[in-house]
Amino acid sequence: MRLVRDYMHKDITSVNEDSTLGQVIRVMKLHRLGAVPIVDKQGHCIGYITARDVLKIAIPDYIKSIYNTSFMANMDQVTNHLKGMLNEKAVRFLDGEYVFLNPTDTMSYAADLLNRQKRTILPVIEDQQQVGWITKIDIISMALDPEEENNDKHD
Amino acid sequence: MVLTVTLNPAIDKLLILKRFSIHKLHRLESSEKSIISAGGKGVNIAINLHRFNDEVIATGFASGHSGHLLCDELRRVGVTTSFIFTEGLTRTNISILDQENETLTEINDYGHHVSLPDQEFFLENYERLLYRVKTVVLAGSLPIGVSEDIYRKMILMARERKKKVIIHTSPQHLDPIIDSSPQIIVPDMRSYHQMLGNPCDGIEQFLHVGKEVLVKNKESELIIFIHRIENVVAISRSACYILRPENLTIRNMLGYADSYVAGFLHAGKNSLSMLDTLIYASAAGLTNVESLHKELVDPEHIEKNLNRIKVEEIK
Repeated sequence: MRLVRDYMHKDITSVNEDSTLGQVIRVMKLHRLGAVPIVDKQGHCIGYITARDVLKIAIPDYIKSIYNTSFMANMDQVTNHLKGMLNEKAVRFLDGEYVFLNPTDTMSYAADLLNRQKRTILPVIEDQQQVGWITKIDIISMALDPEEENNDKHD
Repeated sequence: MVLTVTLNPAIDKLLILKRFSIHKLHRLESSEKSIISAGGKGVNIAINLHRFNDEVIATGFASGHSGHLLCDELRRVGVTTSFIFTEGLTRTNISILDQENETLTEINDYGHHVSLPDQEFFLENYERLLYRVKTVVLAGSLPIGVSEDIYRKMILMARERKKKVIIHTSPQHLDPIIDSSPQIIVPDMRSYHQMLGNPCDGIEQFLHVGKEVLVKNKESELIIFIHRIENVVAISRSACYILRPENLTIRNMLGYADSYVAGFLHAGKNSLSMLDTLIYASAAGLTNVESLHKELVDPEHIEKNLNRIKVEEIK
């Protein structure tokens, strides 16, 4: 049985409750991460903030109300709106309903959850602490693993 | 779980050549090797610990594509990463091993600048990581913009949470923070032959300085001078030892000290006595120098080398 713990990306980059939106964007950029856990002082996960969440914040409400924004000549409305919020605490914009995996979950379950949740990345949590990530690439690239191919033949 | 801290990590490029000469173009032959790996003292210790199947988290500063290469390589071997990424580029260290003349030439880059906000962010992250581990290893040099005081802060934070601290760095960085009393001190004497204002090279001077460190720092337990594998000098509050390997055949000194520290940590985890821990660590260092690789390839071989470590107790 292929388990999440054997395939997860073992990175535990996180930000804390006092981190600002600006710090979160910087972490996403420098760490090349699409999602960052926000943790308390003991390292327990409070929730996750994703690039999608930040983009939602970035687009002002008046633009959201317009069906087609293709007439916008540049990104000024979006970046200026976001610039004004860079010093706000990221914890304000948490995705409180973020789902996660356990290290002992199967990769089949991970694939199903990623698909149902329409995510590209899911955190792996053990004892309330982040231990890694699973991405869609981790799941589809299992098909390239020659050892797994042999195992499947035996099955 | 062990936390290794590498503030100034590197990508290590090792060139194993038949012969190395200056003012000459070398084209590698099929029998020669070019090896690129994640490096920096704490990183090497983390990789070695993982070879023992010990659980490790590696932290420090990383930057740019070489920083990502570093973290990818650590995760590939099974180490959990929690580096703070900064602007710039993680440095590359180059080592050239000349097999015919048995020489090792090393060129270590100085690394990138780390800003004060990044240092604060690192310390916040470090504090959280302390909740996950029992032992902290602080190893290696400091990047530009980072003072020794960061080591002092990390030692005090770890000690406050009852974590064991091992520090392995040069006296240049150790001297200013030695009063923070790390439990285990392994000075890196490759470039500096002075410590606490005293000349420090050779058994007599190692013993003298080691005793002085323990007198001045009530919480420090052990200081080990591992620079010369032929005579490793360990000074504790109860005893002093010199450990010598028998029939030593050096093939590659690169990574010796990091294998030694990893061996020390692994033995300590298995609750061996202090002397048995020191013997195991020396055997780990011996196993490393007799292999071409910079990391421990075959940890099981350490057991076979245990009886080659001879111990002299100094009264």
